[in-house]
Amino acid sequence: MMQHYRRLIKENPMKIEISRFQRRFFSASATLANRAMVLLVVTSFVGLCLIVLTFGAAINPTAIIFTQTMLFCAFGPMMLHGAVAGERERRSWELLLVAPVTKGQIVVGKFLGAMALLVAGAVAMLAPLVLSTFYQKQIDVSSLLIKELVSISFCMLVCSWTIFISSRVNRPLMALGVILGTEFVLLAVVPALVSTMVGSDRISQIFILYLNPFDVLSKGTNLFSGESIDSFYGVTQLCIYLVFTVLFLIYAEKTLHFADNDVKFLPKPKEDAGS
Amino acid sequence: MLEVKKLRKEYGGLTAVNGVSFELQPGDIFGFIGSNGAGKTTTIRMISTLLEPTSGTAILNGHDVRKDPMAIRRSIGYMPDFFGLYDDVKVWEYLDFFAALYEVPPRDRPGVIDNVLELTDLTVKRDAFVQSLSRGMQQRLCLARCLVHDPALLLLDEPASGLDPRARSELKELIVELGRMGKIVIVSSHILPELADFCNTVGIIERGEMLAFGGVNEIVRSMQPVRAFKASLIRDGEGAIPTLTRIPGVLKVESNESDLRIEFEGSKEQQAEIAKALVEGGFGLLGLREEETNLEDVFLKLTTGAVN
Repeated sequence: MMQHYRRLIKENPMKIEISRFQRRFFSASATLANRAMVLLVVTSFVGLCLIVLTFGAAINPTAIIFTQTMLFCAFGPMMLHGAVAGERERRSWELLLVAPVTKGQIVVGKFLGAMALLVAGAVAMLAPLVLSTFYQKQIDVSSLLIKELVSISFCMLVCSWTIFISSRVNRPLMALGVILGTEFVLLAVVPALVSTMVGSDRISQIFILYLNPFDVLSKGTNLFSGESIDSFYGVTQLCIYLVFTVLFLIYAEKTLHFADNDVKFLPKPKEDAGS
Repeated sequence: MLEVKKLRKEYGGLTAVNGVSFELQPGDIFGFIGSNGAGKTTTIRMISTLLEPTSGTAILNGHDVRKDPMAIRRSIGYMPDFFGLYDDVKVWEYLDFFAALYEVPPRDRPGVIDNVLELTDLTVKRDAFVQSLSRGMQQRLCLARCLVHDPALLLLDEPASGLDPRARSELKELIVELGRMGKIVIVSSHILPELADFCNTVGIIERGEMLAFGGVNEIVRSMQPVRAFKASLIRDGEGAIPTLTRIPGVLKVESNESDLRIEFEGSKEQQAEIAKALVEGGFGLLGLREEETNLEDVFLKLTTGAVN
């Protein structure tokens, strides 16, 4: 375990991706699309702070975590959709493969690069969150903490899903389309269908929406009080998200292994002139 | 030292490389010649650990590509036949990224980057964006990237493709310099006359099999067991044939109007007799020169152009 930690995280040279991500989004060389993304996040952040300051107690802290999750769901795939597919497209992938790094280190390095930015985003979002809790008369800190962790762990899941898809396709835009499409279906279409088809059948809703982070955030969870059915929400989802995060990263790495020896341009066997 | 031992790669029923073996010493510049699909790139990719050989192996300074690929990766610089550059970064940032990947300590990186930029004559472009560089400069940047970790072996796959004559000449000088620095350089190329200029060893591959391997002169000589001369005459050459065939060492004489092709295997004195006979016989000798076989001729003689 410690060996994996040392190899994949502590001594992983691909951690250079963290500074690459920073450069890609915050340096003078950032592309227009990346600048637009940063502007979107900064505007959301400033807007949230102003809304909290203006409306005070009327703003529920959960709404801020809700917004943060939505931003992460968009920002994660936009940062990582080219993690592997982009390297393939610009044909820099082989240059990474001949460097003294394992495929696991490449995958984890890409993931850590995005995580560093998202954690920085989460830290920044603490400002409106703390402000809004300040206005609340009664606040359940443990519940809020769990919701924040659910939000971050779900974002980690989205990022690992993005890397997984990116490692299976050759075009970054195709990866982005697939990821945003699955997000839209799972987080918007399915809940809408469930609410219209299943109606008030709460048990069915739980089964179907159990892994939807927005459903988790909308519950009045009190993890430690253990009240009612809501006690199923929170840590369980957090653990499930983390397990799936690891699984997707492992499968992304496995995908890269079998992509190693693929032959794209195998000549077709010649047919006899008479046939 | 690089030892390539019976390297073989199969894709299903297709044998892309079939038992390729050769050995190179530090300072060797090896020109790897073959038609498209002959197996050059597959061989290079196996040596660079990108492809796992079906059988056989390559050993670089005691490290086996199959058993210790990480050690091999630390010792090689691989330049594929495409750039693979990150457009949105500056030249020094690009090199810094790869220096970090190759475990160059952070405190050493600025010095290493300056050195490779100087070697590749890109110092003035240190802060330029990669996308703003010309094709020749991008090629040199790729070479600079291969050098950040001071590798023992450089694998350059078609490094001169798409470059203008000046850029090709600069690249050639750079490769010669790298050979002088004691690096083993493997260069695959289609531009045979250029390879002959700076490679001390060449290998000709076709359908995955090495047809010839050795020094350029050695291979050329092996392909040309007898020397041939071309004589240009004022008069018809047909009449000179009986005179020439009487000279010891002359094996065969062919005439094409006023030109003669003389195959000869003899001493310098006997060689001088050819000119003397043509002058004294009144055939109006305009010129006599030895026919040179170059690498391109050897390549065309040895290969059929067939691919697997």
